[in-house]
Amino acid sequence: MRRIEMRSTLLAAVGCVVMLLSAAPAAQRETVRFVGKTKYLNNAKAVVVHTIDDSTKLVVDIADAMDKYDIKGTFFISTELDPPVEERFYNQLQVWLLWPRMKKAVENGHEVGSHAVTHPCSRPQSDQSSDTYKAFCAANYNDNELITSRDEILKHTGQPYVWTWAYPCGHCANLELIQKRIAAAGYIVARNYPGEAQGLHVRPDLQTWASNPYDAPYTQVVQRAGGRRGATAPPIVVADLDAKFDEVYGKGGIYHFMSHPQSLDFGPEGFYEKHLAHIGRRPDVWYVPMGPVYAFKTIVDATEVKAVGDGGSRPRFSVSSSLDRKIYGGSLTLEFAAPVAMSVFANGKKLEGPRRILTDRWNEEYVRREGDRVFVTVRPNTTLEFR
Amino acid sequence: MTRSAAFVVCLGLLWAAGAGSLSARADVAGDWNMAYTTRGGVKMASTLTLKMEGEKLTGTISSPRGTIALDEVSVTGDAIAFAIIRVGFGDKIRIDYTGTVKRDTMTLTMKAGAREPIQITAKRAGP
Repeated sequence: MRRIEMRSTLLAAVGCVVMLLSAAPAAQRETVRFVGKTKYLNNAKAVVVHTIDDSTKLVVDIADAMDKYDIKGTFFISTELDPPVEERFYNQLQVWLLWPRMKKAVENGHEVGSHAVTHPCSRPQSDQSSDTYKAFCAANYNDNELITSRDEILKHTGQPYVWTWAYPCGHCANLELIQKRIAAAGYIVARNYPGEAQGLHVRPDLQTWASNPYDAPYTQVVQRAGGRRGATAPPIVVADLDAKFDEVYGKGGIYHFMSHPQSLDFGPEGFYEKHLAHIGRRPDVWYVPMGPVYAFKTIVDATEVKAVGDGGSRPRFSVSSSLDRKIYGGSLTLEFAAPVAMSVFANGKKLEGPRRILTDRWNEEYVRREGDRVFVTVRPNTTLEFR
Repeated sequence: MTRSAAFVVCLGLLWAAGAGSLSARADVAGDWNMAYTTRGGVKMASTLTLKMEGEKLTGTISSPRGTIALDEVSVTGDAIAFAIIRVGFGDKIRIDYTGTVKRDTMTLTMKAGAREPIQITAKRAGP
């Protein structure tokens, strides 16, 4: 009798082992579920974008200040090497002083965008619907301004692509003809500067991506009003600047602020650095230049994620897009429900955790877990495997 | 007056005339067409306009890119020098031009701060 009981127990145990072994892969497959693409990289709560116009020697100071507070941004540079002395922007066209610092900035996660070669700016500030104004735009947005500036940036910075354009003096942004020329030169986004001609110092209050990327506004200006125009500047209330950021951050939006280096005061007691200190170094914010954040949106929209094969004990997902990798070489973040502790491999290479506390790069690959959720940040055209 | 004394007087007169011609400055008033090639290989053209205002020489450089007044213009013999001081955008930059005038041609060297100089040739504009 006892022998029979032992045999039954043994058979039951073996049966259990067999059942467990055969059931384990299926159970594991069910535990890994693709939830979706996150709105921002690394599932950040909000985004900070900073854009800086002109090529004065003070660009070096602003780059240093940004690095001090871990803010990333786009430097819009005019690339004329030897402006004629009679040029009214002569002192602004100092790119020869800037290239080494710009190369270093690109290596450190910033971006260099084009602000044309000669910084063409109509004078007098004519009616923007007039034929004179349109003729000025048609004549000045030529291959030299659009393409030579782009190629100079590529040559001097090591940047793989030039995504962004900023309209000098904010002119011509409203003309479809000019927007098409900018697009044809390869730029994917062009920042405007509404009201500069009238010295309005406006706050467009954009808190997301622009509906027309070739006439893209920003959230607010952070600089002395009047700027280089020399108008009497009203006092700057840092609390107001900070409050606008707080509003955008609270809504989970994109806070994009722009500045001219010659209209700032540097040092920890100045309004500029006080604002940087308020918005910088937040672990739930993505700090990114303008071009990459617009490229990111296209990457997210164009990337397909599909479960592939039967997965077996190793669930797999293809992450694919048909975008040009030279332009859209950035990453996106995929959210998975995966309660079991598993490693994630991208094209056979194990993904590690983020190398940085801050999310301040746009093209790195890593994996991060929050409870039962796994956030996988990868470049498209890869196969993910959970092991 | 002895012959030798007359000879000395003549020599003196001749020396004075020569010295006078040496110190006389070239007549540079008028328009000059300036041409140069930048370090980036771009050919540039502008107009240098010099004027005598009493004993003072003034001038401008102009092109479709703008017009700027000259500072500190001087001409001594066939040597010419002037400077332009640009202030703005948080910066002050001095650009020095030095060179010589020979008939209707001016040869200038432009030097801006620590940058390598640029050679400029200017031809007197026709009537």
